[in-house]
Amino acid sequence: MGERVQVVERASGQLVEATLHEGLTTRDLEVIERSWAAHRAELVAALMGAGVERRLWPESLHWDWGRKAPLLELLLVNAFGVACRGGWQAVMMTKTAGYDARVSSEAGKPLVYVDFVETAPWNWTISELGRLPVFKGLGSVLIRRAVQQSRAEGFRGRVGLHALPQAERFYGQVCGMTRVGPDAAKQDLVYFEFTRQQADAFISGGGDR
Amino acid sequence: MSTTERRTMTLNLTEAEMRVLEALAEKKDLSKTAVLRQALRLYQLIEHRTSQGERLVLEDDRLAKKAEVMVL
Amino acid sequence: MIGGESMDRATPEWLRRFADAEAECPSVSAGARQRASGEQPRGVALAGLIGLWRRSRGMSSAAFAAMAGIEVAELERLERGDEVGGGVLAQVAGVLGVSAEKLIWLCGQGTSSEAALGGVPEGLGARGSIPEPLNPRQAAALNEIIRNLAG
Repeated sequence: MGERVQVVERASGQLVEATLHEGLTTRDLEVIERSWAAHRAELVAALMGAGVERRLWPESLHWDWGRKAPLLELLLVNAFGVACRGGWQAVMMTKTAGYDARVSSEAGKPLVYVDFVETAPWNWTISELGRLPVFKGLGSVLIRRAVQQSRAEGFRGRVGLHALPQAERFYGQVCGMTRVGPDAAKQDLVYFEFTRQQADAFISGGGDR
Repeated sequence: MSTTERRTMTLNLTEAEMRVLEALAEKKDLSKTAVLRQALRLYQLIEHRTSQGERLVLEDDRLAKKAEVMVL
Repeated sequence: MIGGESMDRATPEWLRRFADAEAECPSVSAGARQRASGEQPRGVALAGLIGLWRRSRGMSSAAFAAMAGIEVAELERLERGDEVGGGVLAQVAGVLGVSAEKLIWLCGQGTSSEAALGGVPEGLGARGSIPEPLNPRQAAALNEIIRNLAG
């Protein structure tokens, strides 16, 4: 099932029609990773060749969506992907049970947990290599979808996730999520959360801080 | 897998079960249907993980105690 | 979708605003971080590299292990990303035709501040004993990685 969305083509600045698919299958994730893996390897080679310090490398470079596929057999897991121009541009995996809000105003109430989200390697901004994304806005489109899923589940738009360090600015400052803090149970990644009000603000466009 | 197709089921609950369901719905700010969906998802998750050999353990950090939950 | 709630589509203004702000950020990834360097050898990168190399030559696990003078079981541990010792690394480096020193940096040992290969994508690693061949882009990437690792 596909929903029409738009993304921005960076080079031209034009809005491009895309499709946001829900219910990605194991095969979809395997196809996605086969497509992305070669680009990941190229980036590794380029980063090494340019002598870029390891700590500055993209932090999801080692991911493998094919290995996440077994999770799809669970009802609580959903996978979404954005496709356009013949390729998968971004993927998100959410969970709709087992996670409750931590922000005190809504603590204990269920939320949609974004387990993993990533854009395709060619959509990454890597300043050390002078690389700019082919398409922009993919993360925003997927997080918007997560909020919509939360509303549809009756969770009022509440969303939680653990951001990789390089993404903390996106979730805190761009999306306007509450920075709850490092989580020792999750590799000390910083946990972010949308309250109901913040989710409403994000959807309506007031989430930028 | 379709996420939009729906099938209807009639559910008979005891008074006690209905009270629990209503209390959870209020506490979690969910409809009773949403509560039951959560229960189903969690039950499947537990079943999935325990069938792979894992154990479900509840831990109380304050009292530094653990109790294993047996899922039959 | 539960509840049948319709998807209110993002306006072009919304999209442009968030897309521009998003593009200023290095990443949008949420999930799990790579295993920290400084631990025992990060076999993940080595596993990926060996897997790539075997696939490029259509070489089985047994043949690679024999060539490196290590047990097949040891190679399987390597390709799972498990811990390995420096002696094994040196033997593997010899087969790969790369600098043993750089391979050790690859696995997170040593204190060199130079860039070390980390996070060779797991998806490119060979699984099982009969690897599927690399496509031209993957082969080029492997050659570039090897070139950078060569003494």
